[in-house]
Amino acid sequence: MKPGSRYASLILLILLGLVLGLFIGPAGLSPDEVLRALRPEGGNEVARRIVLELRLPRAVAALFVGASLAVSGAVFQALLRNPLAEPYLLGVSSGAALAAVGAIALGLSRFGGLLLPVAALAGAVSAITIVFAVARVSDQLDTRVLILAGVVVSAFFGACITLILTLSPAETLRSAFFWTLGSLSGISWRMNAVLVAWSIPATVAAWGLGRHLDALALGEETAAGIGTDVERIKRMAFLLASLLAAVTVSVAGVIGFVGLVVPHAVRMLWGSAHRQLIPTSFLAGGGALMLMDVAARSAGGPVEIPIGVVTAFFGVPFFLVLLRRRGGDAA
Amino acid sequence: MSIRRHLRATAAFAAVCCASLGEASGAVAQVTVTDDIGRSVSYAEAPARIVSLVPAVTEIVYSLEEGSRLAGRSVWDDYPPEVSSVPSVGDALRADAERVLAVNPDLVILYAGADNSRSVQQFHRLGVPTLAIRIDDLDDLRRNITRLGALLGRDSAAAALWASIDGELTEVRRLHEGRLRPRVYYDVAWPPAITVGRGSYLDTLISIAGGENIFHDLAAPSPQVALESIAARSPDLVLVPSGPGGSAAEPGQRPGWQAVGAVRDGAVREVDGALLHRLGPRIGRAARALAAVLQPRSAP
Repeated sequence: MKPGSRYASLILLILLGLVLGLFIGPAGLSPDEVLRALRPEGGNEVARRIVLELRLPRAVAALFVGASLAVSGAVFQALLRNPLAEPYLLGVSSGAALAAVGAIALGLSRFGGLLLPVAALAGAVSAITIVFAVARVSDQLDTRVLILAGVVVSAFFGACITLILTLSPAETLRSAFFWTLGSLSGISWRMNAVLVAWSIPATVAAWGLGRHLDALALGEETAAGIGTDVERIKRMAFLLASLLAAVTVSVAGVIGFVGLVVPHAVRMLWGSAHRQLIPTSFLAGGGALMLMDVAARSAGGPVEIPIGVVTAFFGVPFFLVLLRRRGGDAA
Repeated sequence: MSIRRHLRATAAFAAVCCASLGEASGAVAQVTVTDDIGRSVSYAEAPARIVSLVPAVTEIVYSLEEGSRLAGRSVWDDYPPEVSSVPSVGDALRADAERVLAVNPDLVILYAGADNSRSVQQFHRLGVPTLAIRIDDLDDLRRNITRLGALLGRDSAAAALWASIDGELTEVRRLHEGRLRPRVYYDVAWPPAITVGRGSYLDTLISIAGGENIFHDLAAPSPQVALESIAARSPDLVLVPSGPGGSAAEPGQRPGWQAVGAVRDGAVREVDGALLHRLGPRIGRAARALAAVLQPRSAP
């Protein structure tokens, strides 16, 4: 497939996601009602609010959360030279979850809708800072230490979460637990603004690092040999990918598989040069999550299926088929 | 009536017969009570060191004026106030056997359910009799009041207790007869949006108090629903229970909730979560409190 038609098909995927996201939902609005709601001052009040205040911001959030996760995963896989790398590997999700669960347990969540995302972002950034500080020895970032530190910090935060949940009243547990599962429900335009304002520049920056990431994938010595400032690139890649993951976690919780599967799938389909891997991952991740969120919202009637379940249900079989077709040259 | 329910009813009836025989003759007669997982306990004399791990049962025991028989309770027990002088033995689910054993109980009453099946077996091995009970709807409440009355030799007090609850519920129902019934969204938790379906006694209670639960069509007791469905079903009122079981933030401050007409119009009412979230002897009072919110003009 030519690069041009690649991008065209991915943009079509996103448009399909947008159309389905606006027209399909548990409220069962007819296509006609949705169309009227989309016209200025048209349609009945309830339909207009459902389409413009619930479905539209949600579709936009799905686009940018999916896109950010896929870009974050692509960068992590290059930086850590590990096919298992994904956005949550280095403790971002557990840091965010610990801060959010802590805030819920302290009853702080009563103070308003934005407190939880802010706490989660602070938790994620703290986790990133700890892992970064541990892995940075005499001005060098050791990627093996990075993985180990990330996994261990995650485990520690996980234990802290369990401790808080054990000691707090049963009623707060459910809310805290569901928060960590990930959901695109109730995303406001304000949260979307934060998401867009961060994910687009970060993706452009990651795209700018593209050739250096290609070099890094060959090994640090090789990269240094062809004139890459390896330490600076690693630091930037780490911060970009971690903060992308942190922002998505703070608005939507933990949504698995997108950050792992999408970059691999794109690599298998169209090769691993980062100059095209980063933008195609962005579009594919966004489009895929939009479509999967439509499934999450509409499959269970008035009951909403957790988005993480849907991403696993679609992501895993799709990935297994790809793996089977491409065999060993995947990683 | 299913066979199981039939058996249950027969067992309860048998228990009542035994108990009333004892009462009538004044002689020492064996009282046998069967629980909701088919186990029976027999006593020649009412158990005197009961550990109640079901807050509603604790309230029933106090209502029957037999609170002095309680040797232990769970951390969730907070009513009546005197219960604070009964030693707490910890969690109500997956009970700490060591702490329960330490108060030397002659009966442990606990919830029937997957969480407790291990505890039941453990107490059985330790030689401590157990009553595993379900208390999910008004019928269960009536059965448990009868059962405890039989067990404690207080059948007439138990019958009077149920009669007063039943009378209170009937009276609440009569208050708003023929009036418009507001359509209600009951806000159990957010996020995600969790409400009550017809599997919950709260659905029944809303109906008794003169409202209509917008998610009555869902069978689950506490289903998770999509925000969009709430907006589409457009409730007249959003009820937010207070207390630790209450929701995260005021609905008006939650992102996306302005799409729900009632939230936008300020038709959000706080209700007493501590009172409503326990299906026990105070359920009549809970219905009255709910009716005061749902049918403010019908209040006596």
